Amino acid sequence: MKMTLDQLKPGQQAVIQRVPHPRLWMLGLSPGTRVEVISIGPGGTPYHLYFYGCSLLMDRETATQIEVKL
Amino acid sequence: MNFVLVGNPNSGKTTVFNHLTRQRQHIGNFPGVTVEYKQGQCGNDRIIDLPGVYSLTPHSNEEEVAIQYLTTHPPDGIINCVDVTNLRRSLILTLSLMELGIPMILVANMAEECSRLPENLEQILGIPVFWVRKQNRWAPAVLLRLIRAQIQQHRPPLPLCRGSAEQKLYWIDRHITLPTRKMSNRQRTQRLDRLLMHPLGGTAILLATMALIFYLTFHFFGPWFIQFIDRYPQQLNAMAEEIEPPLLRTLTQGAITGIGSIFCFLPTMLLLFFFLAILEDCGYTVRICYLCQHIMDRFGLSGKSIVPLLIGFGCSVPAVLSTRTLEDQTQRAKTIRLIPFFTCGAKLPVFGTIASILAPEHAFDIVLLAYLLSIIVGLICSALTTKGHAPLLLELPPYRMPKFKNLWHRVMGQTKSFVQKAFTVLLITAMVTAVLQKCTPQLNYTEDPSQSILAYLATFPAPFFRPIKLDHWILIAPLIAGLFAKESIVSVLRVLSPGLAPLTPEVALPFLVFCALYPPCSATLTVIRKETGSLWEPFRLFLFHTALAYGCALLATFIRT
Repeated sequence: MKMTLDQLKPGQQAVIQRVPHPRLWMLGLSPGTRVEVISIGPGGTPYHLYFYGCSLLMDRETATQIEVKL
Repeated sequence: MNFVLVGNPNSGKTTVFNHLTRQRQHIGNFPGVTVEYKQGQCGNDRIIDLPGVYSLTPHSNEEEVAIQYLTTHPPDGIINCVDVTNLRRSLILTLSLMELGIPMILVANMAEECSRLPENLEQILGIPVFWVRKQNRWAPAVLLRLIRAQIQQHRPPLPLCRGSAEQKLYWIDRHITLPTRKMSNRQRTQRLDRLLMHPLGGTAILLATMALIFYLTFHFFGPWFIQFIDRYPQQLNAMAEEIEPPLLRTLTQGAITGIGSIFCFLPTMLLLFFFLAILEDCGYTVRICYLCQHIMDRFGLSGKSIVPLLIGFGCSVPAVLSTRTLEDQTQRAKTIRLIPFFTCGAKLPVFGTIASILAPEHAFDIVLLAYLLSIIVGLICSALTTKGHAPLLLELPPYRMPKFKNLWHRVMGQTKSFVQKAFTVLLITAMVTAVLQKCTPQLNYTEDPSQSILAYLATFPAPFFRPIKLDHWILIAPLIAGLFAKESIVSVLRVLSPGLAPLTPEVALPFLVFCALYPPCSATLTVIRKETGSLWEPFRLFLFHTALAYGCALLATFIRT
């Protein structure tokens, strides 16, 4: 089964496999990027991600669309 | 020559602009504080500050504005600002800009926060790179010399990588060794984040912070300022008693009362803007988005909407303008509709006055309740009309010490739009009401307000207001004036009846509820019309709020009896 970004727990790292939206590339999220989930907001959203010195908040719905590999 | 500043949101572009042009303009830590492009002069050169963009493909309003500008007014040179701590992502835009073939330089901001800077960046990209460190931070002359040299020697950049953003990222990963952020800064931010973004602790701190801000603004400093300033209009009005003929006296006194009410209230609002500016400048606002996302999501909004809504506590006009940072159009429309429910500062004197009549010893609680009532009603309305989720993609900036200069620029920017409104709409409303209440319908001068045109006009909507017990003309007239500016409600009320006699405890409650929910002022409606581009939207909002306020006031009368 394919794993998506929202299945990661705080502190886990994964490598991005597939990104659906070009908007996310502009923010530096491309396949091959290693991201770490720093924390998850109250109520399970948003995801606080860290990659290449950049911190990003992402809502749960968007995170479910990003395929990752541990 | 024309130069254009282009860069990602939050890349320090506006700081460079301010320094080049020394023009007042606000600098922020929240992505996309500059939405319209701004112009400034530096010697004989014209400098344009475009909104922050991630790419040259239009995904948001800001990107559209920027791209439109670059294609319709090709500049002589581009100054591309990048944040070195986010170099990888910033260079996507740089590579896209290089495809335009316009001479450009790179200004690398926040270099002092990084170690192992890629000093060979200049050779790889083939354009001059200006590293901004603490010691050489402000060197506009050097910057302009660099870009001028590029133009004079006809050295447009060579397109290094054409293709999608993804291909550009691969190119960047292959060719450029990225700098590393100094650990001390990151650790500090992480440590603070662990505390401030904690689901429980963080929320508690957020609530405490907001409570403190409201307490300081409205309870501690606000009344003190009002007391301090309130004496002067009264003294001036007494002096104006000497003026002849009576009509001129009426106009003068109307103007004094009008301006007086603005000045009483301005310090309170400045203070609120100032506190919100501190939150935004130090980077805390984005953490508020993080903590509020799950709540806002329930109402079909993203955490990002919280910023315009908070500004709405000051004045709805800048709040509506600040919704431009929301990329999603439905999100934006929804946030705009919610802003009038976040009681603007101008309604505070109304609440204060009514609360002192209802129960003087619980005045602060009643004001707080009025605020909550309005927010809750607004959120319920928003939830009822909502389906689906709002996306959120927001960069989390590191914490920074707020700089007084930035705060000043920001507070001044927001105050300006309020003062403009105050001195046009408010002054005219105050003078017109003053004349209306001193003239009889036969256009004779009268000292008895009950014989005036205003009393005569207010009898028309009286049957409409009878069920909610607000059919006294002295109560209706301020409500009508309040449609133009909420500040006028109390000032008109005080002019008509200095002792506030018609405002008995019995009618005070429906009056409070009606004031809390009835349509936003004409200035707000005008801005909404401009921002949404539809004439129907403000009209619909007006009808909706009238019906809502009427319904809730009716409910209040029932509860009261």
